[in-house]
Amino acid sequence: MIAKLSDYIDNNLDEAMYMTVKNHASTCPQCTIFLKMLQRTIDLCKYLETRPLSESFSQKLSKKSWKTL
Amino acid sequence: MMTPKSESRKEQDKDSNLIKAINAGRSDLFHLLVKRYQHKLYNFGLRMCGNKHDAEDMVQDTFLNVFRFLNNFRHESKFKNWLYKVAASACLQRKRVSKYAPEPEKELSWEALTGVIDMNKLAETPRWASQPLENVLNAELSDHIKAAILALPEKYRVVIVLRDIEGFSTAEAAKILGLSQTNVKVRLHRARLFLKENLEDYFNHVTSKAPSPK
Repeated sequence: MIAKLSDYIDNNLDEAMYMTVKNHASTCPQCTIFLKMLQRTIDLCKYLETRPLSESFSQKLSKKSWKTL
Repeated sequence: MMTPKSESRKEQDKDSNLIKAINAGRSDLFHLLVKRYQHKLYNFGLRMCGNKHDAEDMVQDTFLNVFRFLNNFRHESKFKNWLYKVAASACLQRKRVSKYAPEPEKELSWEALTGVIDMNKLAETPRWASQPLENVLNAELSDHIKAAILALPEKYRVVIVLRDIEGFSTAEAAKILGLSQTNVKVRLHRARLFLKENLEDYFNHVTSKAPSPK
């Protein structure tokens, strides 16, 4: 069951397998918890903070003479 | 109202027109393409390389290569996907010559990943997975997750960064990396399991360090 959980979350399973996983998860508390932790792991990655470029590097890129390369 | 799909199409069109203008001789407009993607690429570089120096070098190498080979871009995929293909390749090359961070082991075996999972220990959903996301994600956790991603072997790291951080689909990530979709899905699942176990350990440690209520 664990092997299918990412595909289940990403909706990458065919309908029959999707229903198999869904029905199992609805009756298996451990799988439900595991699924929530895996989903939260994905969400935490999605919302990781980003860092700005340093002003000096950004200026270096914008001042680069792309036209003459 | 603009749907996400139409927004995406608009973005694609915007790139496409700009690229056509650059390829038609307006190379002075290339800086607009740089401005549009420099921030995203830099953060992709940070996730992949782990340090500012390598990330900046990767961004510069990527834009140099894009500038040189933009004429070869056939508009058969989104420009952004082609850009990330160039960037991923620059990351992998840079990693090989970097003096920073030695490369961790190359494989995540299924047996090793699932061997540590004890389903019987799962009695209730831990707070980090049940509370609202904004109550969980803070700067310390963010730093921890970034370090955990960097601890992944490169071939797993690049997949999870493209799929779960940059938001590419399985099909897009497969094209960017030149892999089958099955291979992307296998690597993604293993990378997610690795991170999930890492987060469980992190929160168990944080919880055990917290002072008990009086």
